[in-house]
Amino acid sequence: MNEREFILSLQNGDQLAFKQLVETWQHMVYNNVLGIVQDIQEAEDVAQEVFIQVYQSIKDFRGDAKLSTWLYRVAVTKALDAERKKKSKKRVANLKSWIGLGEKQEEPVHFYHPGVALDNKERAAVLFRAMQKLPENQRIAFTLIKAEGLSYEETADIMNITIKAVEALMHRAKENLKKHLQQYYQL
Amino acid sequence: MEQKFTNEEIDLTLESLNGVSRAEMPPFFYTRLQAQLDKRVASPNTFWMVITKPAVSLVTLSLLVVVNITAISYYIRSSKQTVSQQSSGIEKFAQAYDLSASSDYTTKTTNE
Repeated sequence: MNEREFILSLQNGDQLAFKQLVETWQHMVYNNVLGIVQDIQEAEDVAQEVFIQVYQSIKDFRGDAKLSTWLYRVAVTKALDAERKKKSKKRVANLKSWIGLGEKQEEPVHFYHPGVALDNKERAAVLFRAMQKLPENQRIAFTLIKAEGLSYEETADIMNITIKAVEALMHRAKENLKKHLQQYYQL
Repeated sequence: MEQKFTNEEIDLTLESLNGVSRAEMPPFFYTRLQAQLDKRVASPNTFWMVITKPAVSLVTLSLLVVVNITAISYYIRSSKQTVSQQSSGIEKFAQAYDLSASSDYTTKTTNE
């Protein structure tokens, strides 16, 4: 079955095709979301939301992009939505604590990516923390290329920008990360 | 010396994700997903489904704009009427008591 036929099966509500889609792409979606939300439990919840969105909107998928590209886009969007919600909750909690209505939210502990080799765990945790401070576009590009191992071309397709733009984003992301890391190591 | 150490550490940190392997979804994800999907199908949140439709949002927004414009124009019209009613009341009062306003200058010129 080629991709076109597979998409048609999905659009016709074929449950077996949907199961196959989930089994094939679950790790990719999970790893991608995990790189952004940096929380094991939350990553699974967001991955569920991704596949529910796919299930509900597969009928609108016109096949302009590859299925994997579309899945990456949905995953990135959902992960960023979850991040925004988390940040706004944190802001509200901090405001409440400021006016004496609640306790101040504690800073999240270091995130240890399960796929990082043991001798790199601590440094990778520091890097993930610094990545949280990057602007969204730089963060997506850096995560897709470094944590997901995608090429510049694939990243450009997912982000719907040119390869040159991805190169520029990566360059700026590295510069910004260097600044954040410098501050971290000099404290 | 310390700066050199920091720069080396930064470079190593930036490279720490090189060769990272993909994190794997915990087992039985499809079963949990299926349960979640069944729950959503059984009790769809119809209110939010309707309210978040672009057409509904657009119509609601247009209605709000129309209501606001109507309210503002009504307010402006009614305040103009009040001012004109007030000024006509003063004029009637002035006529009734022969208090037509005239300055010293006009009085003088008429006397001359």
